[in-house]
Amino acid sequence: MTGYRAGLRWLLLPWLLGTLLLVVGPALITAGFAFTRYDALSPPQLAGFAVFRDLWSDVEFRRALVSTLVIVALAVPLRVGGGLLLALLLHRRRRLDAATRAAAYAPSVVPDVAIALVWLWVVNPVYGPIGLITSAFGAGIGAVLLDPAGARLTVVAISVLSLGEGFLVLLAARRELPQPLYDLARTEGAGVLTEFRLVTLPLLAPVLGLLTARDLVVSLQVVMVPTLLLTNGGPLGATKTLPLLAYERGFRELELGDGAAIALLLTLLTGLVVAVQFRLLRRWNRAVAT
Amino acid sequence: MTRGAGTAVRVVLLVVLLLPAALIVTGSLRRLGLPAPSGLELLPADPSLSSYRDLAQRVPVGLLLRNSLVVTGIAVPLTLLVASWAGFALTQLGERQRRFALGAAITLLLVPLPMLWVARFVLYLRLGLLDTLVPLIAPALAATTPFTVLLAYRAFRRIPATQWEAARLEGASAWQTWRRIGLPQVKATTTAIAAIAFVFHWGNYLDALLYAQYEDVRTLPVGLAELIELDASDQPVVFAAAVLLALPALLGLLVVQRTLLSTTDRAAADMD
Repeated sequence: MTGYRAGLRWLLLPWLLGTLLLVVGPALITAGFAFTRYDALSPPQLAGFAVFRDLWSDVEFRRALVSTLVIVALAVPLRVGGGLLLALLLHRRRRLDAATRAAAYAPSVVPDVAIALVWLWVVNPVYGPIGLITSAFGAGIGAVLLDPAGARLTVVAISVLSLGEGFLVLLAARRELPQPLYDLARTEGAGVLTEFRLVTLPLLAPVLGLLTARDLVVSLQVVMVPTLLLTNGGPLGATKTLPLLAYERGFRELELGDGAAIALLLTLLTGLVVAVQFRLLRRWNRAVAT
Repeated sequence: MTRGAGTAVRVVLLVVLLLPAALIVTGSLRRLGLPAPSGLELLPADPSLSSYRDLAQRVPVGLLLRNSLVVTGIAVPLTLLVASWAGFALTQLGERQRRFALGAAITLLLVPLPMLWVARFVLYLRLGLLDTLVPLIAPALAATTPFTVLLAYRAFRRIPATQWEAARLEGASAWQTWRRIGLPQVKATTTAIAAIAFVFHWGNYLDALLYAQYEDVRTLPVGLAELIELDASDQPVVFAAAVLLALPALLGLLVVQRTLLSTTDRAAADMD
């Protein structure tokens, strides 16, 4: 009996140790490095809050903050909304559904380097599909990636296309909703929209809340490599998000302290948004319940 | 929504998603040295594999492939063991421990990656592991993503607890119970976890960028990323690189599709 329980702990141990060594530990240590100046060659110098004061008066940092907020504000609602729409549309056993589900998930498994290679062609003004279609209507496009708005929209589009994980989670969540509730809504004469507002949305709200929180992190993560390869953060910093800036400062300019500080600010910002969001969600829940 | 409109939406979705993929595959078969096509070309008039041969001359495909296979060959089984053991243990540990571990797994999903970079870099630097394949394999020690642990937990939870009780009463150890009773009943989920791990490690460019820059440890994504600088006239080579990189991952998708994307959860359970 006790031997069995001890055995269970041994089985859990590798994951706990791995997570401690590679996730929890590094996150805490990076938070420590955020208050230092460190170039990996000489020992880190404690600098305290001066690092953050310098960042705040740093034009490039402020621009990255704005770019991050713009891209997240566009990408997250489209990703979560798109995933929800697809999940509701494709959760049944109908013709083409299996193929469409796979197709919707496909961009999420394609390696990000391949995604960058493909988008190089997609936005090519001369022989890319967008250029060909628009010039067929006599309009044509310029060099999309050299235009700040075009580059940002490209990044948002890449982010939205890789909504597979959220789609998967919502698909599973939708299937677990009790069918009798929908039958009841039907017999009460509820239309599709009423059914969505009164049954689906309230029941999926906790999952949607968690997904939106996770998406604040993931929407930036999935575009990191394609952005690096396609625009390198340009033009004029339009696509230089905070993760990109953290990489640039930390690993190209070897200012690891700066890299850590930017990462810490990004984490705090994410935490703040998540906290506000969950508070709103709870209030909305209470309003629905009464 | 009427049924007809629903089908139309599905067809549009399929076309929008699959047409570019088809154009990329056929585009990679276009003979090198020809001027770029003037319109959408569904199939080149004179298909050839010259772009793939050219690709092999531009980048050391053999070396890149070997490194990628070493990384996935170690990281995928490692992820499987770590995630499956943890998921199995979580179904039978006390309520408090389970809640703590599951809560931690979900919280970890909310940590931005940049938060790990600097400390991991210092860790690998101190251990002398920078510019080796170890930093590319290491994420497997933490089950690659907490998602895999949650999946394994869900699968083992479907098995009636009486089976664990019976095994325990017969004197089986936790490891034996996992190996002989648990694992054979969750084959579909195990395969799905392997596919998720493979997709991550096969495409992992970021960790290489941060911790493994040395030429000899370049993996396929690292080597092929260098092609971004290519001339636009070599478009078929760029397509060939994208196909080479994406194809194995898309095969992984087929595995995930059969379980995680299948019509009902019960279908996945039956397959287990």
